[in-house]
Amino acid sequence: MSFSVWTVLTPSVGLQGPLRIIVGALMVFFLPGYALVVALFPRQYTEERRQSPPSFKIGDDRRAVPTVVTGLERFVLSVGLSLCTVPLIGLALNSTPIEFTEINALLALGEMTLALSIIALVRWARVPPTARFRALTVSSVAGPLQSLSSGTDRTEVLLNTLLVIGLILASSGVAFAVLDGENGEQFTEFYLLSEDPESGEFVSGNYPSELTPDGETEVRIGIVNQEDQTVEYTVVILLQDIDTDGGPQPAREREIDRFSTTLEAEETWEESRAIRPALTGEELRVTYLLYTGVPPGDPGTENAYRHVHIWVSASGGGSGAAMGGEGQ
Amino acid sequence: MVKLDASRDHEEAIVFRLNTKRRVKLAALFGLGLLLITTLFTIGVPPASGYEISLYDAYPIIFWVFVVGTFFMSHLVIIASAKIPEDRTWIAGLGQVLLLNTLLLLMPYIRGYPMWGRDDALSHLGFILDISTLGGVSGANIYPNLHVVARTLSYATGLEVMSVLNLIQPVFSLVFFGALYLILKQVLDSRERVLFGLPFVTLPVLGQAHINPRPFDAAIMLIPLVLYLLVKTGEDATPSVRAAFVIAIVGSFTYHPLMPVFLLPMFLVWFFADYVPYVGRERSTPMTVVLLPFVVAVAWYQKFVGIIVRFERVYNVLVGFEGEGSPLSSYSETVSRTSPRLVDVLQIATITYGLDGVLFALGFAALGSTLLFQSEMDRAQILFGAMLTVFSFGGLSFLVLDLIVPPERPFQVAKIAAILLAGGAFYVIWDEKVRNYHAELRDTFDVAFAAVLVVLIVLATFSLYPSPLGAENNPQVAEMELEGSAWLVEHREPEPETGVQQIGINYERLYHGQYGTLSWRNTMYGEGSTVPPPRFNYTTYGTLGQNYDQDKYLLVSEGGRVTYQVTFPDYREFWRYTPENYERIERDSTVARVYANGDLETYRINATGGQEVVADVTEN
Repeated sequence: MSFSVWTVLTPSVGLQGPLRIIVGALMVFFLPGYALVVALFPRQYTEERRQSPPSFKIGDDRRAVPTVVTGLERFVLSVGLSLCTVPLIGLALNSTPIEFTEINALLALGEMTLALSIIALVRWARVPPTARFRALTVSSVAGPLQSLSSGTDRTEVLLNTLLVIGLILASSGVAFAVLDGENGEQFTEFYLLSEDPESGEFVSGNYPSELTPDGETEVRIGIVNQEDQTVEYTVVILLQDIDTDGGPQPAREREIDRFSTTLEAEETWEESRAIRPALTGEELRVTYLLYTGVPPGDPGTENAYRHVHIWVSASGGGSGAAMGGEGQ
Repeated sequence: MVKLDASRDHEEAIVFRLNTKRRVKLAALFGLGLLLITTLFTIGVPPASGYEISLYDAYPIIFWVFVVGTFFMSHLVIIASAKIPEDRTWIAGLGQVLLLNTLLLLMPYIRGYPMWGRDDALSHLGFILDISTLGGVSGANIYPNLHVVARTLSYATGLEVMSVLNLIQPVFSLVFFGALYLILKQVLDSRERVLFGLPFVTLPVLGQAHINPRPFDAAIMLIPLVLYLLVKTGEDATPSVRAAFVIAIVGSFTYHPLMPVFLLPMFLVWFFADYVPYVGRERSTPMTVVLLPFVVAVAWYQKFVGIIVRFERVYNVLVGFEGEGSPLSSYSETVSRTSPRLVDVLQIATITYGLDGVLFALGFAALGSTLLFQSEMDRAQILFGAMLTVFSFGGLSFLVLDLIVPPERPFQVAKIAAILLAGGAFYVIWDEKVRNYHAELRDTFDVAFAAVLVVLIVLATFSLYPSPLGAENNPQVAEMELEGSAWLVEHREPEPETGVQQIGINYERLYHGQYGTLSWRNTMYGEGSTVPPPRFNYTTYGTLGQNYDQDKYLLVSEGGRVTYQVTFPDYREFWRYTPENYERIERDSTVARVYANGDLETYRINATGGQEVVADVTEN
């Protein structure tokens, strides 16, 4: 019962990390059901009680022999009945004006567990002391292991001991494998945005379709570093006349801009860069190539880390010089 | 002299038993060694660096050999220990199996997947997020139990809800395995018989239900707990047991509406089994205890319009008022259209239904051997036999009729009954015919038993996770997919809303999983199909944009790009999109590539619909 009180208060006292995970998991998956099981079955399991005549029916005048349950039954019922009762707490809360917030949910859970614990305590206290259920002790856990490690001769004792050690090692290994699990994805996001004329926000739309020699056509370039480390990026911008029906190599191509930036892990970089036409024609592709570190001598989509592009048409001549943009 | 001979026979028996016990313990040690190697592989292989179309390919083949080997050795140890009176080495075998199950069922978490489950699971994640938005459960949520558990667990542990979902279903599996063992202990009269059944009830035979965070799968996992308490009320009819039974039923029935539908007939079988001839007489569970939870379930579900509509539709299908597009007709249509090779059909059928078939056969064999060798059946055997018969054959109706749910759902219930019965098939044969006969008959029995175990272990292991073996893809949700879809949500043009096309992902589900279901509007997809035309219709139009009257976004995941090559490599003519199609959209002047992260690419299609075309008739 004291454990129930403690677990109710745990989030509010700022407990964090692995300890909170363990306590929280017990609060939800075990304690409510355990309190219920003790309330229902307050007696200790013994073989002779298990083999006693069947217990009474409702209304039977015969003196009853109450049901006893083994430790394994208690454990399975504790987890199972927790899974059955915890949702009912939430649904009961839902039928009241009380919101299902963190504190309210945990308080409701804790209060129910406390109430069941009190009932369990009362029923347990009514059982003769010699017949009362005793919670798991070291001996009850070590018993099965001890029986494994006993034997009739030295070889058997050795084999049994090796089995016990092996099981402990395997359990530790499995626990480590599970706790060691972490997300292994490391990636970079690379994207283009354009300014929405009405809202002024940068959106994925309204991309420029024309480059004029005397205007400044801007596109906002974005990079998000999700590589879990600091990375130096280089962006190369190409203006390409792609053969839309044919082979992969562009008929004409100009590099119109290049710049570098270094981002720390989780950092986002955005900058608007203007593009002036270095080529003229219809259906020109403005290709943005992202590299980590130094780009190769012949940058292209086939050797870029990431690439994005838009389509424009351009009339009139241009110098092909890269244009700088406003800083972030 | 007679005494000396008897003493020598007795000593020889003891020595024989000791040698056998030692062999069993050595086998257990060998199994532990296999488990340790399996664990080392799991630790040594790096986590997923992106989407994995098959979780099985994430580990080398030798790893899966060790997995099958560990299962096999553990089960052999349990069976061998069963034949030695009072031997407890089976505990080591059971420990190995449970540890291996822990590794296998937590694979998505170990691989570092942010989320496992791409469709329903993401929407259920959305329902959980809705609880925070609304301050409670939505009135339209017909199965909130799992959502409440997940939300509460997230609050209690401080973990993100998405992380919590990866961990919840294995806890249900823990209850599943534990309750199955308790049922065996409750209904079987001997240690040997219980141990013969243990290998079957410790295999993860329910496939994705062991891992998928969905209400139905959670509900299925609680069925053994309900059954255990049901059979316990037959023997220990105290108020305590009955109270536990009622609480379990009320709690489990509100997980999913199919639970009362599936279990009411079984409870009636249990109740009326008393009237079946040759059934051992046991104490009865009062009908009130059985029916009360159903009253509660009806009272709970009748308030949901969606449930009433679903049941009305099922009724209309059964009486012939409605119905088309059953799973069988869908399979037939696919086969007639694609003319697949027989070996491919057999492979897919084996992965999809092979485990079910073998388990059902074992279950019916157990019933047959019981009727043949035993003078009477007990109520538990009648109950499990009825479950197996009704849900295996009844499940076939879900295959040939469009009854909303697929046949896999009733088959799950049949499998639970089958694994409870399966051990009996071998035990009865061993006990009645083999035990006291010659050694060569024992060897034949052992080899047959081992062969069946190997088949079951292989099928259970390789049908646990969807993979191209069964013409399915890994339902892993990659971090890149989450970030990419979130980028579009945050940066898409606000008005007018530009529709979304998708390949390899479900944008709506990803939205649910990150923002909840309440703010989703179907207009976010725009009009028409959510999937681009086959081959991007380059055989009709020169550009993709000519297929549309309004601009669209196109989301393409890495899984979507490679799914046909990996899953159907020999059926190129039926691929919806080819690698050449994807290369062409990079040169398509109506398609801008506006976002890339290594897995998910986002394109913006400039609609030029209705314009005359110079079609490229070159077949890609």
